Amino acid sequence: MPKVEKLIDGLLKLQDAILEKEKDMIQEFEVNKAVGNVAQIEVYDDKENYSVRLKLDENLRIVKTDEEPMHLIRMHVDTLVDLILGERGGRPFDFGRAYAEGHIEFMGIDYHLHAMKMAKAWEKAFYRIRKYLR
Amino acid sequence: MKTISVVSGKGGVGKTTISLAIAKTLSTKYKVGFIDADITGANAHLAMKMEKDIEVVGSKDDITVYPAVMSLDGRSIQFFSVSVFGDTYVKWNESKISDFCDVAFDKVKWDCDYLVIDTPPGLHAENLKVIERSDCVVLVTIPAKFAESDYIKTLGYLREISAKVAGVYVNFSYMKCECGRILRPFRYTFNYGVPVIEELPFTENVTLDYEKLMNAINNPVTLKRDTTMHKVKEAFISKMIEVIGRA
Repeated sequence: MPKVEKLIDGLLKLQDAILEKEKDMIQEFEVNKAVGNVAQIEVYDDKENYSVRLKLDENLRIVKTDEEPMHLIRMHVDTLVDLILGERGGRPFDFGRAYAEGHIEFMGIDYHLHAMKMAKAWEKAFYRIRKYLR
Repeated sequence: MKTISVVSGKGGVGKTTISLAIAKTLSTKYKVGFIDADITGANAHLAMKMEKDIEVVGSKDDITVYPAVMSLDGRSIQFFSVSVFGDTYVKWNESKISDFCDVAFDKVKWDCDYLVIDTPPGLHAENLKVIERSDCVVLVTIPAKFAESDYIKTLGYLREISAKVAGVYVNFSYMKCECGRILRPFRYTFNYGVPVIEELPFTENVTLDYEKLMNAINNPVTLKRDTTMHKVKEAFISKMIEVIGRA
């Protein structure tokens, strides 16, 4: 199993364990219109390129899916790790900053619009995991 | 909706300050929108307070963006900027920057009478696109020697596209001493056929004359290409044809 795949599987397991244990944490986030949008997430490092289709369910839980993606999100594994940690170079690091600084690419038609819409939603899902890790 | 681009070839002349002052002045009587088109140096949001965040609705290829609503000295202004992604540096290539400007024009649902656009200094792809799509251009400069060269280049481009220019704000023109004396730190003068809307003092909070602004944007001057060289070339060609005909 590629390293990146292990990382994403581990992330999803951690998220599910958190939500199982801390059910009320779901309530912290309002369910927004970004729910259900499928993204093909492509994470690469120097050796490999791993691709997985993920979406946010009605509880803003990140889940794997076989549905057709609406857009492609591409990032280096270091960016993924920094997004999980929420910090890069001593400053807070979120999806918005990662997109503006060119560390993640949204690809497809209207990619800026998808980025505007989805960056905040993905950020909320990651924030929940990040908060628990701290 | 009338779009007004605030333009200067030179950086640091107070474009953002004057763009905000124009927006504030117009908002006394009209609904105003504001685009911070200085993608790699966006900072207009720092002068405002968020009332309502940007909203993105729809899915797939049918997405609409509703601008944020910001409070500018107590006045509500519709607002769109790359700051939607946070207050950080932007490292995008030219095409991505250009696409973002297209979003600002084509996808954002503006509901305003005037749309003020703060452009980046110089003549990059993104501000050329913005200028060409504007109803009129407001120039900003300072009366200093080094500003003149950038001003001439900008005017050259505006003439090339026959832009409608409302006029120029000459910023940092004077300081008023406590004793009442007017001091002019820069004494340079240039305008090259562009009407001066107002000379503005050194101050943090610029206040514009409403009448002068309205008069300028309602009566823009269309800049024309310099046809002198064209006429010289035409005369030369006629002479050549004449000589060839005689030979």
